[in-house]
Amino acid sequence: MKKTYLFPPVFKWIGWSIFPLFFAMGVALLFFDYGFFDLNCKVLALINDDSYFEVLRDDIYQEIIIVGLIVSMIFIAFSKEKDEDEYISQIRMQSLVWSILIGSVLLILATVFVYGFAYATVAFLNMFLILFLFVIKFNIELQKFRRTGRDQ
Amino acid sequence: MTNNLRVERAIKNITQLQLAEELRVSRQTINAIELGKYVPSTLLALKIARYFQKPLEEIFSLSPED
Repeated sequence: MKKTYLFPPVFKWIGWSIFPLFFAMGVALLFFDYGFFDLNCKVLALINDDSYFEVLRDDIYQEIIIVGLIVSMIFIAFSKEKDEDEYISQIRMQSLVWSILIGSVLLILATVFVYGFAYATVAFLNMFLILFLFVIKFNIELQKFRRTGRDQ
Repeated sequence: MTNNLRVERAIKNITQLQLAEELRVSRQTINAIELGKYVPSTLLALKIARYFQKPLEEIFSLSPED
C-alpha cells in the first residue's frame, strides 16, 4: 500500500548483531589508535587529493569500520517492527525530527566551541551522530509505547 | 477528537488485544486511541467503524477545540 522505505524486521537483528563489533573497532581505532588487523588492498580512488580516478593501495580498515557502522545503524534504525502500524510510524517520524534537530544543535555547538585537530574528530563522529541519536530516541519512545496501558 | 471506542468494545465484549489483532495494529495503538492520545488515520477509523458495523460518526466525533 504505502511505501515506507523500511527493511523487513529481521534486518533489525542483523543490525544489532554486527553493530557491537564495528562499534568496538571504531572506538579502539579512534580513541586508542588500535587496529585489530591490517587490510591492504587495491582501491579505486575517485578523488585522491589532486588526482582523480586512480587505482592505489591503501589500508581499508577504516573504510570497513565506517561502512559497517553506517550499514548496521541503518538496519537497526530503519527496519520494520514486527507489529509496525501507523502509531509506530508516527513515533518513528517524531524521533527522526528530534534527532535531526538535536544533532544539528550539537554540531553547531561543536563548530563554535571546538577548535584544532579535535574538530576533525567531531566531524568524524558527526557522520554517525544523527543515526545514533535516532536509534536511542526511537527505542526509548518505543519502549514507553510498549509499556502503556495494560488491557482493561 | 473524542471517541467511544471503549464503550463499543465493551458492548462487543472484546479486549484491546482482540480488536488490535482484528485491525492489524498493535494493542497499544488501540489503547492510545481510547485514551484520546492518538487520532487514527482515516483508513484505521473506517476499519474500526466497519468492524463495529456502525457509521463513523457514531464512534468518532469532533471535540469543541477541533
